[in-house]
Amino acid sequence: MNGGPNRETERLLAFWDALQEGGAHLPDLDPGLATTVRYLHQNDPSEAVNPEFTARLRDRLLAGQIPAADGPAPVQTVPYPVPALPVSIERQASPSGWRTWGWRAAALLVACLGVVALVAGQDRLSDLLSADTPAIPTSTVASIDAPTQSPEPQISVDGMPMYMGNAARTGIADAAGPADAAAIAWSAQMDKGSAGTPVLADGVLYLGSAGGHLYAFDAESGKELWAFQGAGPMRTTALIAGDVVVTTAGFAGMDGAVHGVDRATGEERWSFAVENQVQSDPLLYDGLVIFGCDDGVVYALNPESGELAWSYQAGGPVSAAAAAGGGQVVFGSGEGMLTALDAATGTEQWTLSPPSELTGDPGDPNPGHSWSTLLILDGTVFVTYSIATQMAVTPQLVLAVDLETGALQWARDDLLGLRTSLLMPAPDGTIRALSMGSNEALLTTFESGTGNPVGERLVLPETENVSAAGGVIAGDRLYILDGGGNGEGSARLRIFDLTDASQVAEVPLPGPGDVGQVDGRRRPPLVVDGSVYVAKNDGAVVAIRDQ
Amino acid sequence: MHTDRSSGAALSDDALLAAAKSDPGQFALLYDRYVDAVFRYCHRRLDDREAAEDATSQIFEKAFSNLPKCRDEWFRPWLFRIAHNVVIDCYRQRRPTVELLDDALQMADEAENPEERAISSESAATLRQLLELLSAEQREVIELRLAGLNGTESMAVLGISREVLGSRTYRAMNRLRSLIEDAEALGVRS
Repeated sequence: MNGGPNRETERLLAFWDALQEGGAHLPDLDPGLATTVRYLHQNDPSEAVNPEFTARLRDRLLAGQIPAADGPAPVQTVPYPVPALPVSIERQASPSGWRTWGWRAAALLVACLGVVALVAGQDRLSDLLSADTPAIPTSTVASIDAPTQSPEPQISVDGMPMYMGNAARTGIADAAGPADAAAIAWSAQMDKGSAGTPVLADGVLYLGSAGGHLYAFDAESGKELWAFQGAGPMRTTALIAGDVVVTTAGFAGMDGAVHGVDRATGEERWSFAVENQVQSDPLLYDGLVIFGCDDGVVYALNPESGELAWSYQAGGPVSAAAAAGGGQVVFGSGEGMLTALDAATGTEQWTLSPPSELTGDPGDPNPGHSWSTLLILDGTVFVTYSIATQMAVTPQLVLAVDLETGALQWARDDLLGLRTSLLMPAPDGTIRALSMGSNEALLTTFESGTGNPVGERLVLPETENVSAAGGVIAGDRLYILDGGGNGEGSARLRIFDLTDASQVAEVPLPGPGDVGQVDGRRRPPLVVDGSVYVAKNDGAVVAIRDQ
Repeated sequence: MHTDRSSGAALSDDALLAAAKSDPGQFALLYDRYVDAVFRYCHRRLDDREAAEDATSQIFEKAFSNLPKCRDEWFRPWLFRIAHNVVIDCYRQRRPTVELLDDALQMADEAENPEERAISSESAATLRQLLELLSAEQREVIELRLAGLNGTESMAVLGISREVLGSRTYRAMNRLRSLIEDAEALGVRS
């Protein structure tokens, strides 16, 4: 645990905790303080509640007189029980057929749920979607070229300091992970599962838990180095900024905090208060820690002091991870707006609202807007976007937006499935879209300049249940967390060779917990320096290496 | 909607919360478990039974209406976070006629001899009156402890780090110890 500068205060907290838990073995404490604590517990000055009042309120609550909370119910797009997408059928359709399969799948989803059919948008993409875009063939055998060169920006594989490796969120395409000799190297335990991906620097792994702790583990041995208690559940991937690790903590709908924690000691350096939870993974860009918050504000902090450099009122919750590049930071908001700010000042540069001819009519006046992936590559913003209502989720669009001007360059609705997706640049300049859903894992490669698919769609074999987990590409391998789908205890890491779609290795993960989402979020494993690090739902952290 | 009040006695908050999310009638089990603690918390902070009952009603109405937003493993701090905010709202509403707790404690802090003022009066010999001599922040950490919340939960409710919680608690207890010792010296504590 975090020791803190004052050991007496820590002893006082520990003493009080132990007394509340029954107090069989109370830590040492100054006798005067110990007596005062005991005195408080023996002389609670409050008065008991009136039984009549208790009964009256109880009856009123349960008689249904309490209205539901205002506003739409929280949209949860990830765990939707969707049927298989008719990928192989629609790929053979007319030139406009590829534009419509997603909508048909959404309608099929709605039908399966017994609710009103989603309004389709078959012919609404004509202006922005290239008419001669080829259909995507489907295959279980990849025809993806092996990487030949590294994409820009170059990224060191010495560590993974933030979600997707860098501020542009490109991932580490040339990172090396284990292969056919993969086996568990060590397993450690946190108090709860994690909604984030581990980050790594200088041989230390950092990971926040839903139980409100930020942990530091020795990456080689798995030994816990320290644990810092934050102000609430941690819902993001931590960020390494120099000798500080930044984490976020807080409850939905209530005040939260961003903590700067000393990497060496686990002691808090600073804390920054926000007015809601933070779900947007912080990034480090041009010396600033930048993150969005559910309070509708994007903040930029000095990583050394925690002082506010600038803030921007977005007009809606900013829950998805932002990306930065070219002097700008780009984010999507819950109001359905993609916005670029000057990263140094927070000044708005441009905004883009996906036009209705792209999105169709969701049939809900207050739909949820989901931005599941956002990356910046060679002056272009690539973002996945979908609309979710209480009844259905629209297929995810892939939008390519000019970073400097905000002009929409192209958009497609056939590259992804209905569920969480991940975009990663390939070494040859193309972009890979990993879509985990539709009862299978799909990998599609497309040209970054046009969105046109390259080669065949890769359907990974026996991936019926991977929709509950996450995946990431490293080198020529794909690492997928497979929840197993057979209840607890069947979670596993699966490694595929992208050159022939073959499964290279399968590693059962120890413990009873699954590897599905935590707090409604699912995250890929960390693949770096020949290792894979996995956080399970039961709080276990597992390192896997070639043995 | 019928709920056996005794059926949830052995179940964890997690289990009761899950049950209440799927069947709102099961919220009664959580309500029964916490209504007294919440009322006592409100009463300690508002020092008025009627105001405490009003606040308790608001707290459980908010909790009941927003139950789907509560994370499974955090019901108690979540509930007391609501209580914390409702009590603050009560203070704000009372501002025109009743001095805010912060104001009152600022007065206490600024008084030439607040301890003497309290201890010299027989009515000031109670623990509640001694607690009123603490700052608002110091009282908060003690009141949450008296409501049964541990350090981790108190941090979550107040949105502060363990270091800050420890510092506030340490200062509060040292000051309270001093007040109690002075009260004992003057024979006002029974």
